[in-house]
Amino acid sequence: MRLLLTGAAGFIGARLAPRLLAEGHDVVALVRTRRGELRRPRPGLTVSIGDMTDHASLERAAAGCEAVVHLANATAITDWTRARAINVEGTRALLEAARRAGARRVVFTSTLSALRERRGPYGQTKLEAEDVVRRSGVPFVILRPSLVYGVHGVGLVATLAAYLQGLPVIPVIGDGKIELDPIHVNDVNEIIVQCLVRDDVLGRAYDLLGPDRVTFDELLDRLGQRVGVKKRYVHLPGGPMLLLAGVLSKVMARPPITEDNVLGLISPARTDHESAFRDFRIAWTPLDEGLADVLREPPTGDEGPPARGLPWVPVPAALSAPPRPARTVRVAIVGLGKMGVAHTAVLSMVPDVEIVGVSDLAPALGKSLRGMGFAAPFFPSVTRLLEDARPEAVWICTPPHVHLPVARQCVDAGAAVFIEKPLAHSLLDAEQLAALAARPQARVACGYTLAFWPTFATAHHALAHSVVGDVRRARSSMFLSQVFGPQKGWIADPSKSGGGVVANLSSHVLFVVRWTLGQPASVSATWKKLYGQVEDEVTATFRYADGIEVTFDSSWSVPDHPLSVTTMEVEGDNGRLVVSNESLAVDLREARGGWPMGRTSVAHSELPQIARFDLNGEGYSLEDAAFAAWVAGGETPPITTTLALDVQRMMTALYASCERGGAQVELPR
Amino acid sequence: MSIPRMLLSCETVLGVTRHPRERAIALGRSFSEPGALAAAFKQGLEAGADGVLAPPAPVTRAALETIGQQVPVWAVLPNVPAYVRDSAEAGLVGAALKRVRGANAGALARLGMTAMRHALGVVAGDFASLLPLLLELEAAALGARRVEGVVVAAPITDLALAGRHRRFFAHVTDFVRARFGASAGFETHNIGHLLARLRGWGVRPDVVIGPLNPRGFMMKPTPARVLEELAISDVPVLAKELTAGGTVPLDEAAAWARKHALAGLVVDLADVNGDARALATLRAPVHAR
Repeated sequence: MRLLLTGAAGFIGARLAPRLLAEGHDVVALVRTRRGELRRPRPGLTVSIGDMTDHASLERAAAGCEAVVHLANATAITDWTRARAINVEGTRALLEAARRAGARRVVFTSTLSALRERRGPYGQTKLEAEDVVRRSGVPFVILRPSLVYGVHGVGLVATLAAYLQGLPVIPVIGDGKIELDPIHVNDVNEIIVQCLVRDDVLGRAYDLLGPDRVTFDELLDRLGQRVGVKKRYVHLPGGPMLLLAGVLSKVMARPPITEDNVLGLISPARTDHESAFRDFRIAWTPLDEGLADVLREPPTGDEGPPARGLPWVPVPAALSAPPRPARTVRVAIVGLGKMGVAHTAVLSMVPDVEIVGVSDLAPALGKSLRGMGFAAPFFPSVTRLLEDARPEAVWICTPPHVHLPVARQCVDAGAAVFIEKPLAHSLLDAEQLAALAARPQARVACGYTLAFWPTFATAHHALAHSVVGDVRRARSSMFLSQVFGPQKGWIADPSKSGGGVVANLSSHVLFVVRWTLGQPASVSATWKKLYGQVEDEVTATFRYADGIEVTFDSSWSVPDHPLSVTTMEVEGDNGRLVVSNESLAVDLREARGGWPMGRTSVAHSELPQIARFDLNGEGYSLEDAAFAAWVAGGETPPITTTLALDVQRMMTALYASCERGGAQVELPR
Repeated sequence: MSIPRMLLSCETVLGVTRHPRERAIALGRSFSEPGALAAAFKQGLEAGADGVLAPPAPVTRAALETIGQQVPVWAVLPNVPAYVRDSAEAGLVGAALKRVRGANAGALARLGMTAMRHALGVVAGDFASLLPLLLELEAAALGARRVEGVVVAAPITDLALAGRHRRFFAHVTDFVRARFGASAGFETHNIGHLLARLRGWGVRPDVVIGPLNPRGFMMKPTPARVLEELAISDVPVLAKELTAGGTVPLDEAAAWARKHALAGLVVDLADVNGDARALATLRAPVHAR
C-alpha cells in the first residue's frame, strides 16, 4: 500500500517509517526538512518536503496515496491562531487532499489532552481536529496516546531521567498524584500498523494507554530506581504554575512551559481503559521493560574497519583491530580525579564493558561525575563497592600512595586490577603489588599507555625485530608545559605521589625504554626542584650491563609544549630509529624486518588508527579495552606488573642518584 | 545564523597540533608577535575565510586587539590545556578564580547573571550548568568584539558525549544562542559518535567541527561509520585535521571535502605553511547542502 506519513521525522514517525517499510508499504514521508534517517535513500521511501500550513505541499504529497497516517501537529505551542492553522486547518486540508487522491483511510493521532477537563491550545485544537477527521468523508481511526516513551534520550521520560541524574531536587508541577498510563512507542506503532489493514476498527476512537498505571511521582520513583538515585520532589502548586505559563505564553515565543504542559499534570482526563486492550491484541510493553529501553542505548551495529594506515609499514598485530572483551565485563573505578574521570569516560565507550560502580573518599567527586552524565552508582568506600557492585575489574586512579591497600582489597575480593601509573609511590609498595599480581588467577596491570600509541607500538615491533641491529646508544625525553609555580594537592607531596615530573609524567618514557631496550643496570641523574618539594626537571643516563648508555631528559616546566612530547632515539649497527608521539623514522644501512634500506619516515596519521574512541589520543581507549579483554579471557596486554615494577626500580635508582648529587646508583633487583 | 564555509585556525601556533613538531615550532616563532598573527588573520579573511577559529590565549587576544576591527571570530572555549595547566598549580577552583580576577566589570556582571540562572545546577555539580560559567570567563579572556560562534572544545564535548549527556548538548546550544547571540558549535575528536548521538537525541547545534580527511585519521569510531553519519547528519559539519597532520595535500583534502558535501572547512595556518593568502586557492571549498 502507498501511504502518506505526516510528521515522519518526529518521535513516533521516525520509528514508524522503518516499521511501515518493513511491512512492505510504500511510504511518502512528509517532513519540513529532510532530517536524520530520512536523508538515507531506502527502497519504498519517498521524502516529500512540505508543511501543514502549505496546503499545496499536502496536495502533492497525498497524490496516489491509498492511506494517510497523520502524526504531524503543533504541540509546544501557545499561539491559538497558529495552533489552529496547523492542527485544525492543516488537518482539514490534508484530508481534503487525501479524499481527492482517493485515500481509503486515515489513521489520526490525537491526544489524551483533548479529553481533559481543561484544555490549552494543543488539547483544544486536537479536539477540533478530531471533529474535522470525523466529518472528512475518509474512513478513519482516531488514536489518543497517553505519555509516549521508550527511546533512549528522547521524550519526556528521557528528560525526567536526565533531571534525576543532574538535579539535586526535582520540581514537579501539581501534587504528583495525577495518574499516567505511559505507552511504549513501539506499542503505538504496532497499533497504527494494524489500523492500516483492519476494517473492524474504522470509525472508532481509541485511548491508547499503557499496561501499567502510575502516578507522576511513582513514575519518577521507578525511573530513579533504574537510574540508581533517590531525589526529593518539590511540588509546585498547579494554579499559580498555570497562571505563570499563561503569562509566559504572552511574552515568549517559545516558553519553557505551556498551559498544556501544566494541564497535563493537574487536569485529569476521562479515558476509556478497555477498548484498546480489547481490540488490539498486541504484546504490550510493561513499564519497567520500557523504562529500561529509555536508559539503554541502541546498539551501534557494525562500524566497519578502522583506518588502516600505509600498507607497506610493518606494524604489530595488535594494531590490526581494536581489542574487545569476549563477553560483558563488570568494571568499577576507584578515585575520581582527572584520571578517574578519563577512564570512566573511556570505559563507558568500550563495547561490552559495564560500569557497575565508582568510588572516592570525596562524595563531591561522585556528584561531579554524575553531573557529567555518568550514571554508575557511587560508593563512599571500596569495601562497599566490592560488596555491593561486585565488579570483575577495578581501575585504581587514586594517588599512588594508596594503590597498594586498594589493590589488595580488590585482589582479595577476586577482582582484576588496573593501576594508573606509576605502580606505586615507593619501591616497597610496588614490590608488594607485584607479589599480589603473582597470585594464581590474579590479573594486575599498570597504565603505561604509550604501549598502545601507534608510533611507539610500531617502534617496539621494529626494535623487537632488530631493525637497527645491535643497539649502541639511545636518547629519550619527555617535555610538557604544565608547572610554572608551586603545585597544589597530593601531586606536590612526594610521600603521596612518589616524586615529581618523573613519577607523574615521564615514567611513561622509562616504560618505553624498559619495554624496548630492557632493564638497565645503573643510573646517574641530577634534578632541579624549581617550585616545591618534587623535581621539575631531570637529566639522567642509564647504563646497561653491556655498556650501552641511554640518556633521559624530562621537564614539565618548559615553554612551547602545551601537549606532552615524548621522544626516543635508538642507534644501532644497522642504523637509527627515532620515535615520538607524532612520527616514526627509521634510517637503515640495509633492509631488515620489513623496513627498506635508507630513510623511512611515517607520521602518526599514516599508522593504523584502531581505537573506536579518542580521549586525549588513542592510548587510553586501547589500553582500557585491552585490559577488559584480558579479564574476559583474552590476551595479556603489554602493560604487565613485571614491567611496571622494573620502571619503579628505574625511578627509585634515579631518585637515589639525584639525592646523591649524580652518583652512579645500581638498580635494585 | 550562517554557517561558515571556511575558517582560519591558529591551533598549530599555540602548539596544539597533529602537524610535525618542527613545523609547529617554526610557526609558533613566526606568529609569536601579535602583529604577525593579526596580519595572518587579515590575510585569511581577505583570501576568503569567513572568520577565524581561535581559543582564548594571550597571543590570540593580542592579535584580535591589534587588528582593531570587527573580525568575525568563532571562539573555541575553554582553552583546555591552559586550564589544566592552571589547575595543576591552583586547583580547579583556583583556575576559575584566576579567570574571574582577570575579567572586567562587564564580564563579571554577565558571569553573575549566568551564575544566578544556573545556581541550582551548579550546586548539584551539573556539568551542563557549570560550563556556561566557564564559557563566560573564557569568552571574556578571548576579548573578541564580534563573536559569530562559540564552539565547545573537544575534550569537554567528548567527555559529555561519553556521559551520554543529552541535556548538556541541548542546554549549551540554547545558552550560546541566547547569551552570545551566536551560533552554537561543538568540536569533537569522535565525530561519528557525536553525530549519531545528536541525531538520536534530536539535538541540533548550529555546527559540529571534527577531524575529517581522506586518510581517515582521527575519524572515530571508523572512517566508514563517520561517512555514513555525515551522509544523514542534520547538523552542518566543518572539517578540521583536513590534511591529516600535513600528510595530505590541502587541495586534495579540499576536493575530498567537496565530494562528501561538507558544510565547510577549518584550515589551520600549518595547512597553508603559514601563508593565509593561500586560502584563496580553495575556491568554492564545499557544497551547500
